[in-house]
Amino acid sequence: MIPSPILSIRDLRKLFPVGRPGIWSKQDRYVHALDGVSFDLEHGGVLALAGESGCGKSTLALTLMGLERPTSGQIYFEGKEVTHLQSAGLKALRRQIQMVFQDPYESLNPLMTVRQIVAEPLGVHGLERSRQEREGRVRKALEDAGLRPAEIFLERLPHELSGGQRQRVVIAAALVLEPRVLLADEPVSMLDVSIRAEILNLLIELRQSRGISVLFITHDLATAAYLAERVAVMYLGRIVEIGPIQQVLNDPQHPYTKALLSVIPIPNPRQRRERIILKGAPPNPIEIPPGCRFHPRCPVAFERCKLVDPQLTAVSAEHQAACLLVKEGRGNHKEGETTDPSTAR
Amino acid sequence: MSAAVPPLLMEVRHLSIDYIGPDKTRLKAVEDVSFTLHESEMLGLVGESGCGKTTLMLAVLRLLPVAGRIVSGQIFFQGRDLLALNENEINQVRWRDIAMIFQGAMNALNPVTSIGDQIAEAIQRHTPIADRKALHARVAQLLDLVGITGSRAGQYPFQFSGGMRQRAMIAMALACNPKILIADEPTTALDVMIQAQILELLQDLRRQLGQAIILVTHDLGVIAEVCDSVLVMYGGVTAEYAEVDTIYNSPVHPYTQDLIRAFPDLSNPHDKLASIPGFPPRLDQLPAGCRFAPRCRLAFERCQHEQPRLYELDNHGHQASCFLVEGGV
Amino acid sequence: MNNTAANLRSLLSNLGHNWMALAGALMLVIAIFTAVFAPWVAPYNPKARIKITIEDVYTAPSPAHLFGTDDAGRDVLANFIYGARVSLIVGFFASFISVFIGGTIGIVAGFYGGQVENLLMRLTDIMLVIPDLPLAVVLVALTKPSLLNIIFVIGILGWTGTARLVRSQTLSVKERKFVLRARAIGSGNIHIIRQHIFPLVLPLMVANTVLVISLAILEESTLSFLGLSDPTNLSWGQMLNFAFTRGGLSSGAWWALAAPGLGIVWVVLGCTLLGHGLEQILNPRLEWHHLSVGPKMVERPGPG
Repeated sequence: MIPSPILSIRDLRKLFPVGRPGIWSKQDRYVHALDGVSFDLEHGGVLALAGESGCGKSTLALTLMGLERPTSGQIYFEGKEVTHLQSAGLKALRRQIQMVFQDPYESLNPLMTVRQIVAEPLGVHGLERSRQEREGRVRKALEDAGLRPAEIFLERLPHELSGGQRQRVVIAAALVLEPRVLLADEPVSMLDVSIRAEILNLLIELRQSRGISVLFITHDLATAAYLAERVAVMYLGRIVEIGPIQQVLNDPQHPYTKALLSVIPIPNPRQRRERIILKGAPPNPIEIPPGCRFHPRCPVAFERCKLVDPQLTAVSAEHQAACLLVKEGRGNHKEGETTDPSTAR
Repeated sequence: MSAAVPPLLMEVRHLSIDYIGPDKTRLKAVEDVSFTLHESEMLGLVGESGCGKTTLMLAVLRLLPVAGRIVSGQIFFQGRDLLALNENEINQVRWRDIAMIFQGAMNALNPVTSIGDQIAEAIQRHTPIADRKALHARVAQLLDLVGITGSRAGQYPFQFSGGMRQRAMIAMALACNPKILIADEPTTALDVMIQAQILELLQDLRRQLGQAIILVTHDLGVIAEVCDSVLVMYGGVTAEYAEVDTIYNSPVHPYTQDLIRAFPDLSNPHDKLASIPGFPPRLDQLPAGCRFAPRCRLAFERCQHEQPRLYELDNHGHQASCFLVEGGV
Repeated sequence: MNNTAANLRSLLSNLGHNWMALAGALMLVIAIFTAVFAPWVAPYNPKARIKITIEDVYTAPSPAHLFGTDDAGRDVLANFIYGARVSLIVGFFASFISVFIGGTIGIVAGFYGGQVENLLMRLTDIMLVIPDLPLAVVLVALTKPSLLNIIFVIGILGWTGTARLVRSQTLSVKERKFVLRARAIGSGNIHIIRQHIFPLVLPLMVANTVLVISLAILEESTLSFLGLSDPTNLSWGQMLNFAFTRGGLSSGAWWALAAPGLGIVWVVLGCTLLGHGLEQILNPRLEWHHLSVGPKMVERPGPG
C-alpha cells in the first residue's frame, strides 16, 4: 500500500489583479503568478521546486503557508482539504507546516534575543505550560539546529551572530513547534559558499532524524540536486517538468530544463560545454503567451506549439514533462531519437 | 608549451590597504596582494564576504570610501605606477583606460535620466564628442554591442529588467573603449539564464575588442566557466593564485580545496558537500598568524602565530600562501 | 519588553556623540531641575503674603531682585522659577496625550491599512486643516480656564504630526521580513503589533515626543498670553500677558518680559535640539563622497 502524500496540491492558481477596475472598465488584467500547479510531497520526502524569478515559486510558498489565499485549486494536508482554512484551523495547520526564509539578516527582529525568537512560536500557540518546559523546548530546538551548546546563544541579539548562525536560529524557530513539513525558501542563497553546505547538511540530517518532509524552493538546480529526491521545474506559473532528480538531470525532457541545465556553471574548467542560452527573459506573467507558454523562447518550437497548451505528459512512471515533444510512455529517449517534426524534413 | 603570452597590461605589486575605524584604529582590509593582467585575459577574483576583493578593485581606480588608505604597493599600468599619479592624472585613467561595473550598480542607475543620456554622460565626461549626431551614433553603437535595441535608448531604468540594466551598465563602462574592465559581482542578483547571457556577452566583448576583464565574484562555477586565471582571497590576503585549471584540479591551499568541495557540482550532485566550520574573519578580529588557521583542517602550531607569505610553486605563476608548500617546487 | 529598554539605552549612549542632542538634553535638565527644586532655588515664595507699595512695582533689577519686580511688586525671578513648573507640566502632559493619540492612530492606520487607514488619515487631514489656535481659543473659552482643561485641549489638538510619522514608520516596519515570519508562525495582529511593530516605532516616537513638548509649551504660552489660562497658576505665558497688558512696556520694565521670554526660548530650544539630535541618531547617516579625500587616499611612502 502506497502511503498517501503528506502534502498535495491540485491545480493551484493565484492571480493578482493589476490596476483597479474603473467605472466603465472591468478588472481584466491579472498577474498569473500560479497558473495550475499540482504535485505531491511524500512523507519524509524532499521535493525541490526550481525556477527563475517570476516563475511563481515564492508565491507558491506564501500560498502554502496561508499568507496568500489561492484564487482556485486545492491544498490537502494528510488527506484533508485545507485550502480555505481560517483563524483557528489555519493556526493549527501552521503548527504542522513551518517556513525557513531566504534572508537571514532580515528574518530576525533586531530587538529580540535568540531565546525570545525561538520561544515566540510557543507563546503564540499557547504551548508554554511552564517556564522550564519552554526553556527545554527552546534549547532542544537550538541544538537540533546545530547551535551547541545552546546556553551561549540564548541571550545573543541577531547582530551578534554570523549569517550562518542566524539562519540556524530561523531553523530553530521553525523546529520548536515540531512541524511535519518544512518549507525552505532559498535558505542558503544569501549565505557565503563555505557556510551553505552546513545548512544543507543540517536539512538532510533533520529529515533523517525527525522524519520531516521538506519542500525546497530554489533557483539553483545544483543545490536542489544535492538535497532533493524529486524536483519540479517551474516556468511562468506552471510546472513544466517533474520527476526523480537523477532522471530529470540526466534525461531532461522539457527544452527549458535542458537549457537551464546547460547553463548552470560547473566548478570545473574541464567541463565547459555547449550552452543553450535562451534569448531574452521570461515574458510578463500578465500576458501569458498562447499555446505553450515557453514557445517564444524555445529553441525547438514548431507550429503546433503556438496553439496547444501541453499538459504534463508521462515520460516514465514518475517522470513527467509538459511538452508536445514528449510521447506518452516513451521514457529515456535521448536527443536525436525524437520524432521531432521540425527536423524530420 | 602555451602560445605566445599576450602583452602585460597591468601589474599590481604588494598592495596593502587599511581602513581607519571609527576610533582611529587601523583595520587591515587588504595585505600584500599581487597579480598580473595581460591583454584579453579574464582574471577571476574570488572570495567570500570580507575578503577584500571589492576593496582591492576600488583601490585600482582610487575610489575607496573615505576611511580607506592605500598604505603600500604599486599598480603598474602601461609602464606608469598609478599610485604615483595625482588626482587629475588618475582621472584621465578612470574610464578611458580602466572602467568598472560596480556591485549592485544596476540598481543605482539614475531613475530620472534615460539610459541613452546616462551613457552619453559617461562619454562626455571622459572622451567628449562635440558633434551631437556622432554622440548619438556612438551611444547606439554601444547599445548594439551589449544587445540592447537602439530604440530603447530613450527609455528609463524602470522600464528595463535586471538583466537589461546590467547590460546598460556594461555599455556605460565600455563607453571610452577601456583596456581593462572590472566587473564586480556582475551576475550575482540575476537568474542563471540571464547570468549566462551576460557572461556570454563579456566573452564576446573580449573577443571583439580585446579587453582584459577582472571578474569579481563568489561564484566558483562562473569562474570555472569563463576565466583564464584565478586569484583566491581570504581575510584580505592572497590564498592562492594560478591558472584556472590548476586552481580547480590541483589546488594546494586548504581554503581553495575546501571552497571547491563546498560548491555544489551538477555533474556529481551527490558528492558530500564539505563545509568549512566557523566564518570569515572580521577586520577587527584578524587572527594572529595565518588568516585561515582558525578554520583550517590542516593547521599546525606555526600557523597560529606566523603568517605565511606567498610561495611560488612552479614557474607558471602558481602561488599559494601556506606553510605546507613552503618547500617550493 | 526589556529589550525595548535595551534599545533605548543604546540610544542614550549614542547621545554622547551628538553635540546637538547633548546640548538640548543639558538645557532641559537644567529647566526640569529648576522646576522640581523651585522652593529651594527661588529667592522668594511668590505666593507668600507681602506688603507692597507703589515703589515696589516694576523696580529694575537689583541685588535684592535679580530680575526686578513685576506689576504686583513680586520678584520676577521667583515667579519665573515657579512658572517653569506650570509651563513644563502643561507641556509634558499635553504632549503625552498628543503622542498617545497620535501614536495609536498612526499604528492602527499603518498596520491595518485599507478603509481603516483611509478613515483615520482623512480625519488627520481634517485636523490639520483646521487652524489650531483659533480652535484652542474657542475650546478653552467655552470651558473654564483651568490647568487641566488647557492640558486636555492642547493634547487633543497636537497629535496630527505624530500620527503621520508613526503611520509611515509602521508601514515600513510592517514590510520587513521578520513580520512576515511572525505571521507564518501564526501570530495574531495584536501580538505582532506589541512584539514587533511597537518596539521599532518607539525610538522615533520618543524623538517626536520631545519636539511635541516644545510645541505644547509654545501653545500653552500663547494661550496664556491671550489670557486664557488659569490666573492663579502663573506660567511664563501668563507673566508675559501681565507684563504686556499691565503697563510693563510703557514703564520700560524690560525685565518683566525678558525673564519669561527667555525661559520659553530656553526650553523650546532645548527640546528642539534634543529632538533633532535624536532624529539624527536614529536615521542612517549618509556616506561621504570619496573624492573629498583626494591625495590622502594614497598613504604609502613616496617612490624613492
